[in-house]
Amino acid sequence: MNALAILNYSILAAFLSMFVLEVGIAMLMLFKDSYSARMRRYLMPIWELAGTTAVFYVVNLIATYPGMLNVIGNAYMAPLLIAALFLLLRNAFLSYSAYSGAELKAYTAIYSLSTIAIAVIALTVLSSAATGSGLGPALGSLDIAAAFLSPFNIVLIIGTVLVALSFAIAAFEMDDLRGVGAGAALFGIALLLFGTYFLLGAVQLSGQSSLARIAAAAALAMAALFCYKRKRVAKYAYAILLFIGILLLEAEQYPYVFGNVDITSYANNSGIAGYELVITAVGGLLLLASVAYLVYSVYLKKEPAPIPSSKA
Amino acid sequence: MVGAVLADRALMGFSLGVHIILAVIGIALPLIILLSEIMYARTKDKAYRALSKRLSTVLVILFAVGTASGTLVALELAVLWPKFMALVGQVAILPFYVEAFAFFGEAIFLSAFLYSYHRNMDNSRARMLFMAIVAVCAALSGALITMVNAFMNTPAGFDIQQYLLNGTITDVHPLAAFNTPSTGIEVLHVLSTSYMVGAFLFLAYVCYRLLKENDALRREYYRKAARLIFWVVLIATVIAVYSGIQSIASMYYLQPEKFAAIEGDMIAQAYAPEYLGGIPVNGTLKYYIAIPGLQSILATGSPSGTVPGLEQYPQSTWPPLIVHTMFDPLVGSGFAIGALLALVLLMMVLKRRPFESRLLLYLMIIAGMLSLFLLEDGWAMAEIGRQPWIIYNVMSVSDAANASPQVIPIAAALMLFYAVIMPFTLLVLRRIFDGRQLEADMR
Repeated sequence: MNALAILNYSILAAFLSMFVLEVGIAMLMLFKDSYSARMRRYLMPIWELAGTTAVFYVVNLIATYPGMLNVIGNAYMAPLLIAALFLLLRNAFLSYSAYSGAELKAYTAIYSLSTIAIAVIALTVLSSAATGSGLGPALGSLDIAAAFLSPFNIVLIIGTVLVALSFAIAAFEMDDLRGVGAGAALFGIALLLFGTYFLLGAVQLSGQSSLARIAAAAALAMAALFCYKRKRVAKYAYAILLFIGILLLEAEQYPYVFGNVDITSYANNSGIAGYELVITAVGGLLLLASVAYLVYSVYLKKEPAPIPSSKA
Repeated sequence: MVGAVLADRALMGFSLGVHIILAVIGIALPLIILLSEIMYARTKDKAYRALSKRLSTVLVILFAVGTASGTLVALELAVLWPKFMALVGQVAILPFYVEAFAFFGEAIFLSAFLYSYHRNMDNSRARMLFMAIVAVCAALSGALITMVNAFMNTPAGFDIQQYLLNGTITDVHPLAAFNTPSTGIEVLHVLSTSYMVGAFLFLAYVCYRLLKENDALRREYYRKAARLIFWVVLIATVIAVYSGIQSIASMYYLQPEKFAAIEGDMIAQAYAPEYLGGIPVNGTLKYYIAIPGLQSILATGSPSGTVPGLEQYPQSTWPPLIVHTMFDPLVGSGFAIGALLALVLLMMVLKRRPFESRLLLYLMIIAGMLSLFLLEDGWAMAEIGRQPWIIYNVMSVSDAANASPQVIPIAAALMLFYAVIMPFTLLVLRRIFDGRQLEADMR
């Protein structure tokens, strides 16, 4: 796996980690009013970073594998544009809800449902891109029903929903749901590993090293353990381990895409790669510094003590 | 096939037409908020703080919708024009790539700015820094996206002859996309127009409120807002007019067919007149007023300068002549706005309080709407003027398009959705501000 592929897979893993948390928040917002205010406080930076990372992934994909665009355009145009429609709906109603009064519940429900819809479509596209399910001859079309109903996709959606729930429960320290969170994490991880090993592995041509799968399992299981045992560090551990877990599962797929096509056949050979890496390194460092500053100033810095009133 | 290509074009055009409104507001608004913060830091006048607070609410909502519509545009580029984006990916992707980081910066520091208000931090310097970074990142985003558009107008950075010969991309210079022959003037024109139109829309709204409000405190607040925004509009308009003229003049040698179609020139000629008005009939311009020699002077600096004519080029490469019809109102509305701004400036110099005059307030509202028309008309003219090419003289629109008929119903659904969500966003913004007391924001 070369540096550009690692970069491309890492950006996707970063996006999916953030988006999984957002999906968990969206689901809990539908059913757990008591935690809504706490989740809302952190939602704005999460969706902004998740959305921006998604755009970055699209740009990186175009730069790294431009040859793939014909397949994406021909086969995945419809689901991707429908997902974008839900994205418009999601962003609009999330921002409305931040400033609304009486309509808060209705706006939040629209936000939550559209986020879940995006997740289902995105996972279906991802699983089809991985296994080739639903793709027609010469990769020129997509049978969306076949892609949606493929066994790997169903396992992927259920597993992701469970992991998303457990991540949100850990991130927002929902004490009354800790048991549910731990159970959801373990069951979700088991499903994802089962799907990757038996269903995804079945369509690949490679020998499939089991080391990566075991490492992914260990990473995700550790996250689940943190979720249950150490609630103060759980959210950070969960985020980092989820990222690693997703990256390892993606690595299982490499170098295949659309079932058994070699992804390197779509790679950019124009000499842009070097610039891509330099820009990512410089931009990434600036971004990390900015995010660290944001986290410090927004979440960690102590608020100044109120000045005592002279009347008191 | 033709239906699908038309649907691709309609959806892309509609999405971009909506997105550029959000984009120009996203570029202008951070600057206005930053200026409000600077004014508050200097004067401690709470009206400026209230202006910053209220406009940041607008910015967040429009940023959220704009982020989604921007993502949609990015996706549309990839799925509706896969062949085009595959070429861009190999030759001119770096501006898009850097833009992603500018976009990150905007999102991160906008969050930090908002949070400073939520926590009632009275740290004006920190807020100014946050908003300055948002403003720079927003402008940078606009500039970088424009660089890709400049690449489409004047492609560079690879062996074009080789590509036309056998479709292979060789001799790639990735950094060339940052500086094609039309990049500088295009970036200057797009940014100045963005500041002009984005700020003008808020100036028009402030003028509308001045017509409606009777309360002294509120009137004073809106007057201060009007004066502040006016200067942004004025300076941006001067630069937009200058860069607009330069932009048309540069087409003379960079995209001669586009120049000829916009000016309505069928034949190459010296002492070329400027055609005002006119309707294209069967491929020729009719019913116009001609000002002798003016076009040659504007394009070449000399009345004897020769301007290109469409008949020098194969008819298959002619842009639609409708671009001339789009050009006239562009120039006319530009002149009208310029004259109105000059009048307001004159009244300010003479201390005649322009924002007290009801007639001027009405005219400013009309001019604000006119500036929006100017933006859309100018953008559409520039894009239609490049037809039939998506990349000038390299790749045609029909070659680049996704010919899948699936696009037709999706395009219709997305356009319908846009038509609902945009007015709804305005309605929500109005409801938010109707329920929010100015006095509370001034505290």
